[in-house]
Amino acid sequence: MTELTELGELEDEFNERMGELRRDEAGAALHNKVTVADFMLFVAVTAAICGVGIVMAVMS
Amino acid sequence: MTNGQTKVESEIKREAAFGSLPVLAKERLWGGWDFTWLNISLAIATWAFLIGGATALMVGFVEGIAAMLIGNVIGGAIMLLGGPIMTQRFGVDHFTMLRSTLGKVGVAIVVFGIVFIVGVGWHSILGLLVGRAYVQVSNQVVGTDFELNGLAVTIASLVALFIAWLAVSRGPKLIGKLNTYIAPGLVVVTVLMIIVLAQHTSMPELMNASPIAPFEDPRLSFAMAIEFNVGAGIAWWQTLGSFGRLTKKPRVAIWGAYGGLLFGSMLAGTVGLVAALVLGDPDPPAWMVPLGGPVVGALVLAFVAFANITSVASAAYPTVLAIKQSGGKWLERLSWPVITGAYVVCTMILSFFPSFMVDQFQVFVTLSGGVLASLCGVIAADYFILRKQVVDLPELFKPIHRSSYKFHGGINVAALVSLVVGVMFFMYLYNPITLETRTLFTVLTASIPTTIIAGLVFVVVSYPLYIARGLGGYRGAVDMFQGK
Repeated sequence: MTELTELGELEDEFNERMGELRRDEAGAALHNKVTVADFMLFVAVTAAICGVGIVMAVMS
Repeated sequence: MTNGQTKVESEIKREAAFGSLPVLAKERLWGGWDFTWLNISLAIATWAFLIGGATALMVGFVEGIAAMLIGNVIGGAIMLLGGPIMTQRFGVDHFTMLRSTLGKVGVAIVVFGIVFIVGVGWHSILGLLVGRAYVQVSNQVVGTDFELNGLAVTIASLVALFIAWLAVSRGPKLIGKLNTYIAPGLVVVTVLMIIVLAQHTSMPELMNASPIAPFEDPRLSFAMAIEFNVGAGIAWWQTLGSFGRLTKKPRVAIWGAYGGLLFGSMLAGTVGLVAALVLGDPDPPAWMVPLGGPVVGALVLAFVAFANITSVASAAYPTVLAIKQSGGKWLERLSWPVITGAYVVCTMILSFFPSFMVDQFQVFVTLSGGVLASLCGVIAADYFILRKQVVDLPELFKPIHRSSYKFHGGINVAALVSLVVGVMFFMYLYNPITLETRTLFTVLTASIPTTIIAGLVFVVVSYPLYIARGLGGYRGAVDMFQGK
């Protein structure tokens, strides 16, 4: 398996990236966790579309 | 080695290595519309016609639309929970992220035991669809009399897979260039097919069309149609898992994939469904020439066949890359053309069984969907419930013996046991080979309970094995993205 410790220049690249992620991107919106509200919306939309499908099937 | 080969090797090496490193904000490519468009164009792959057609075996038009809608939504939701959401947050591809769920050796087991088999199955079917397209066009335009599942299909399929290998062996740039033209072209062709179908069918005819081979119990037929489409939806996990890392916001990863795949799958699936119900064959080669005329029909089919070849190349690329990344030092030594060639040869072997592959398409999609549902259940339980969306990135990249994701020799036993239990539960609820079902299946499908059971078993088994013993990196992981 590829292991960074065996790839010297990649280890440097990895450390640079980790540094940048910690320094510049910590707290940035793109790294936000999915919130409970997001999750509930996701479940609600899924359930609603399934509901539409079930109604279609029952009506037919 | 020529200069060209050296360049490809270096591109692949860079991709295999850098491709597993975290992506920075400035390197992320896709906003909402870009990612949605990408997913629409991916979903209008030519197997979608076959999926719509297979749905028509069990249900009529309205129930078919409903089954595709429900199936794709459920499959898409399970797939999203098991991949793109996680990879979006950390900017790391799912096969690397999965080291925290399965262990590094566990990932290799899943790549060779599931990803490889599912990939070979899907790609050989695509190759066979090209073969069937050429044979049908030849029969209708030139007047040949080739059998639909005969040697001519196998030969055309082998040629198609060989061309796909030529593309994939030249690395990601060529595939990217081809897809720039193919994806929008497929959307245009699908719309053209809808127009041709609309001209030759009427709404009453469509509404009254009976399913081709339904079961006696209409509820069972409907449930099976849903489950089949769930399998097709979950199958995107292999590709979408790594795409999530290039999206710019969590909501882009969720809604772009969800909406794009649903819209694209429904559009192409409806073409297959309508064609199968009204014309008796979902495969565009069977009806495009008679309905669209020899010139338009042949041109459209030639494009579709070419699109299939690029689909094989695009879909095979991440699969082979995962195999190369997980295969240890002996696979690392193999050159990219050799390893892609070996993969394509595996798909070619299945081309010698066209009848079997096309007949068993439904079984394959449903079964692989069940396996992936179980896997996604385990991943989602690990990431959302046990780790609370916090993964220690540097630990993913350490050698097994120094990583907190060491588990048992690089294998998370709890994850693999739960995966197997989930698959067994799926087979208990619905065995797609024998078609045996339980009552729960007609109410809840098999994939939803499978995802839940696999996740629950994983949580329960992980406590005594790892969490209570302070192993597996479940305690003390720091969220590096928490605001300053």
